[in-house]
Amino acid sequence: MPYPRLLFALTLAVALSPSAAAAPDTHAVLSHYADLAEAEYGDALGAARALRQAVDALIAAPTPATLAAARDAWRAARTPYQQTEAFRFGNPIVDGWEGKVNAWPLDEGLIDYVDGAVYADGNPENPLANANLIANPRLQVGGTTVDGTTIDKTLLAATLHEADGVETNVATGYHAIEFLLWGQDRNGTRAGAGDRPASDFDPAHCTGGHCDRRAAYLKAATDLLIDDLAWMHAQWGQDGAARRAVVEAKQGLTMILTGLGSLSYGELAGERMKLGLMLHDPEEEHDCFSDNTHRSHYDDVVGIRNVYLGQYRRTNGTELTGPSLSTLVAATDPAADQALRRRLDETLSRLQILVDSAEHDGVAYDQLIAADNPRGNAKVQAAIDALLAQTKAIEAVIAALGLGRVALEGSDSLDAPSKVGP
Amino acid sequence: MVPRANHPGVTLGWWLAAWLTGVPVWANPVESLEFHLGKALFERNWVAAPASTDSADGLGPLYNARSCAGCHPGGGRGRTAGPDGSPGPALVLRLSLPGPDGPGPEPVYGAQIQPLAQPGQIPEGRLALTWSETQIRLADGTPMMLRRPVVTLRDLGYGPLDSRALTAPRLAPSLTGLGILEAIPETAILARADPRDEDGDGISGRANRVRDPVSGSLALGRFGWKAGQSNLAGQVATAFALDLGLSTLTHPAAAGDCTPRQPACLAAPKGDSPRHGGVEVGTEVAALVTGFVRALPVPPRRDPADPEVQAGAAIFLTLGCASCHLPDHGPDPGQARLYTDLLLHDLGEGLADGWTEGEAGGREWRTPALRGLGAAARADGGAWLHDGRAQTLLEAILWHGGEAQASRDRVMALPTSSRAKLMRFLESL
Repeated sequence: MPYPRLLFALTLAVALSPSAAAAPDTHAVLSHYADLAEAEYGDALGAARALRQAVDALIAAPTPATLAAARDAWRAARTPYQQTEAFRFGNPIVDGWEGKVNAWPLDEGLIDYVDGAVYADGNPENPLANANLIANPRLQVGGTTVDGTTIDKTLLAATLHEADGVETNVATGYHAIEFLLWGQDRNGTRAGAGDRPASDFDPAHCTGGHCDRRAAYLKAATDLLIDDLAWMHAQWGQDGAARRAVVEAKQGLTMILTGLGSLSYGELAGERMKLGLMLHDPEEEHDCFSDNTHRSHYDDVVGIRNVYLGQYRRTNGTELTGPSLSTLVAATDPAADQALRRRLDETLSRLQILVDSAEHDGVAYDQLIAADNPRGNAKVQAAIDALLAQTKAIEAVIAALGLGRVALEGSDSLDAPSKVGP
Repeated sequence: MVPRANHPGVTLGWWLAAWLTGVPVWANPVESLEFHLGKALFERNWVAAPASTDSADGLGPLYNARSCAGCHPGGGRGRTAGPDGSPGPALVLRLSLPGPDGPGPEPVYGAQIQPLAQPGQIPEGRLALTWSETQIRLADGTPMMLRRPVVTLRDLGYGPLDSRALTAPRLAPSLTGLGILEAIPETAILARADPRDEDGDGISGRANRVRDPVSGSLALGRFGWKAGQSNLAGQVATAFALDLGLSTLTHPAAAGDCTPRQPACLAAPKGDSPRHGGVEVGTEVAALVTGFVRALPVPPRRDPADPEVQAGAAIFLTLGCASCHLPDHGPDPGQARLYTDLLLHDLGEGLADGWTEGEAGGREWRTPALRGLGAAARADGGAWLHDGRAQTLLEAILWHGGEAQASRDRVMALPTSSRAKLMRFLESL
């Protein structure tokens, strides 16, 4: 009987087509999103522990080789962390915590010596901008004297970080460690990153002074990073608060897409890229001591892809996959899903060009945004444009899922004007 | 790295505001890329010229703060004093000297004291702040301590001020809602004016006319404590010039508020750049900052439907507060109501400091918007009125005199519970 056979074949075809076959329920997507976060923060934690070992090796035997290894370990630790930034804006628990590990920019003169010619007078609104804890065991913070004889986690986190309520007093996190490993980048938009010598950590042949205190600072800051990442990793565990907040939320999908959209748009395309390009200002560079900015931007984009596609390549090479937002969208609006996936690919290829420039052509991100480098400027602008197009595609996905928009302000019920009219 | 004043807490606050209303930050109409760039520029710490890049420099040589956010954290109002009681950058001292064509700048120090200076430059002096206190009692017996700031200048760098100079302390106000005020039609504002009090309600209300720094012609004043600025672009350009020492096409002097009697300041390195039309802050950057200020969202109201709040709103009306703190200039659904008529009123001797601006006299003040009061109070306590003297909203009310004397006296006489409801209403705004 040809007719039922045809029907059977049609049924099979529908069942095997990607949109109909794999439409997961929302809960499975939210749960897998939390699994991704747990894996990514877990990898960031593991890489921070590896950084601690490299720091120990540097301090045990400060040589150019151990310093280079510590810098490599910092770069390696940065990659999984930057990918987690896709979780930042949608989840208040991450946003509230993020300042401990990734605060930037910083008044680095709080921590260690700086070149007066480049740093000028520091930041006059920050009395601690030239405090230099490493050289000065006793500091005046908000009118009281702080005993900084012992540099430990408590001193950095509880006393020094955001001291005097000044947010550029960044005493902890990736960028404080980055400054200790590289030192200031005094090259402006010319080639070169920070060039701190290994002997800055060598009490026997000390350069820069107070090498034992510098080593203690580096250890304490790295330990603190490990503590903070362990805490966030636990928030995404089976009973963790961050996991529960998103899995149990009515607006879980909105939270996810808010994170992807905010990072794509205002944060990465806007503040981290367009602003620096517009001003041609290397101080707007994100990883400015290490010249690792191209990589941190690239990993942000990878992080956004991870979340949308529901897949993550772990540090150990294994691939984590599961019910994805992409499949959920494809079940409703295959065109919107396809458009966003195409945009994600396009953005990644644009960021790859910036990575290639820095790692193969020797033109780092701060040189790409220099005023006298129109070709470099065009490469950065193309990446910004791709992020903007990606944002539009995310908006289309939000519309496809029917998540909609709510007016921010001023509906009658919100303002009750009839009750207060003259 | 030269830092930009990054405010993670502020970012979080803006984000949370959007979150609470269910709108993804970037999906909010005000959160365009331009808004983000404007916000970053608003928070940016400017550096001295010459710097490694010619787009980021030009601060000073004399200045009050390095960033807009240094005085308007999160776009909100500043604080009068830091934890140790010494005045912070958000409290500035304006200067003027009476002249035949109206007040002009003080001949040595200019229009404002700048306590900070680039290396090698002499700072103008620093502000010292003490408080003069008076105790009064409300009708229900509650004692209230009212304080008035006494600002003196220390360590003057260029000799004494001219003996005829007027000084006026001014606190950096909140910037939220300015875009809404800018959009109110001029005719609607003028329709409320009643300069000779022809309706006999004891409330006059005058429109200020000021010289627009952008167009050069006379225009309706809307912004500032005395409506001394007619548009936001001009307001932003004036702040760049006086507070940060940065030149714009509107105020092209690279040395900001430096005067001819400060030759070293005039001779200091400049940050003007041919790429920016020969000024330190080019049109693009100035427009982004102005756009950001214009788009700053007003915070959502809290508990507007609460019966206590509603009762307080009725009291607000009954006491006559809304005669000047006009909720809006006509129904505009979807637009927040700011509670100002944008007109000048005589507020009496208690608040007067003799300062004039355009047609605004020494006792006259432009009605400030009330929207956002509650959120600001919850964020950082109180610093209300032009010099931050009032630590609570009730203190601010008690300073009202002149045209507002009758309403103020009615507040004094309110039973305790009614006063609490009125305060609940104000805190809901």
